[in-house]
Amino acid sequence: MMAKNIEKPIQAEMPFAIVQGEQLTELPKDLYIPPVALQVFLDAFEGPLDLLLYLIRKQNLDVLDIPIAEITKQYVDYINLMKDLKLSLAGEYLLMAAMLAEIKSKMLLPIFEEIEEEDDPRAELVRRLLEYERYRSVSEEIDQLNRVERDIYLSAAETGNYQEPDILPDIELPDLVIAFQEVLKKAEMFSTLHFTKEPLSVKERMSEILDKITGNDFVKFEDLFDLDEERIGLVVTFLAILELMKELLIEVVQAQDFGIIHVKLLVDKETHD
Amino acid sequence: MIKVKNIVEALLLSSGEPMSADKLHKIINSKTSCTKADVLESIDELKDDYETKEIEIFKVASGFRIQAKSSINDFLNIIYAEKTPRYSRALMETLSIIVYKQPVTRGDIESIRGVSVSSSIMRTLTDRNWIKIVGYRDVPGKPAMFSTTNEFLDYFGLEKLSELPDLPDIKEPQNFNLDLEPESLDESTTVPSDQLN
Repeated sequence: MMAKNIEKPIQAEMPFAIVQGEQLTELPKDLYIPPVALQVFLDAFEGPLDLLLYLIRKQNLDVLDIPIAEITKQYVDYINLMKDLKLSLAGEYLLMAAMLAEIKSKMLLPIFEEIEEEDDPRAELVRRLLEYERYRSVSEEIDQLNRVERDIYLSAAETGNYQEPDILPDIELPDLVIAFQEVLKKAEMFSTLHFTKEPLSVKERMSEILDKITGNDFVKFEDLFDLDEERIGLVVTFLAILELMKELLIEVVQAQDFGIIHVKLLVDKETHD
Repeated sequence: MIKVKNIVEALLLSSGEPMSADKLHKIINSKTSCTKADVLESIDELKDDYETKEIEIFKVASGFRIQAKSSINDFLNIIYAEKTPRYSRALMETLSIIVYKQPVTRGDIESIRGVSVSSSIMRTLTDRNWIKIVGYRDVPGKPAMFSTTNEFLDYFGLEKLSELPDLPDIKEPQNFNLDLEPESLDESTTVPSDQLN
């Protein structure tokens, strides 16, 4: 029944009532939208599918039986109008125009019995239109949902004279190295010459350090070093501290920037031993 | 000794975000002994207290929050009228596709909407914490996959995704030979020549 409407494109200047009165029992809102009337909406379209759906639904056409020739003509009219208005025309619109033309040309081909298995050339377009329409309509529903800042208003009590708690600065490796340099400097003041070799093991030094920091108390970083030792001994102690930190056995904290660094046991010593 | 109920109320009023019972319990219990049951009981008591007031305790995805009852929206609308952000149709469509098809890539969104995804829309959605990247699809280019967040549900006053409106079924799927239904292939549609121009 739609086919009759389509046989000749309805001119914009033709009186609508006559055309509609002849074709349809119930009066549709409008059959053909003159491109000029659409001018205001043009930038409101969210893409070619949106525009196509608008053209189809507005004219009460059956999405499943789109009069491709007519729709293509209207579509191209709007595309041209967009061009005239120098609206930036997204490539997608042109791609859709090409797709419509392709469908139209396929439909013009005679249908042979042998290839009747082939789908309607419009099938893919219809599938995409219907799929898009689902999301478009649900997005309108979601848009109507109550939402914060528009329909839901949240409480926002001020917190008075709330003060941020002091956050202890994180200790970076450079801070530790600088602290260690101080230790080395101090050690130099006590340096004497030693010639005895003593075997130094980081592992052993780690347990020694753990022995020093028993319980919950903080121990000064500097106090972990035996200043009577040679430089190499101090280095081994430092390595042992880094190793212990890595194994999350000790915690190194600084109460304020550039303050004294303290070391504390993180786990019960027994679990290490 | 401050009553747990009063602590819960003050926390919900001033936190600026919804708080779960677990979170409330953890915070309160870190300073004074209290059980999760105490917290839940306090919330129920507060709900009773608010019966006669124009505020309410409301549960959303991220937890409880105190909000104005909709009965005084007429007044609040005056204050907020100009501050209410507006979201474009394009944004709502993009959001809807993410909601119902998550996890999705930009490509998925593009193929449904038929237009390229606007970067500014994706940025707005990400900045508002409504969507987040949940992984990368194992196809060439490793595109990011997006899903919605609890903050999205909070914003729309929801607790679960299932409370959202149902995605409508495809309209008028019968009497047309869509390739969605391969069994109907043999009665293939032929196009009457009078439909062609």
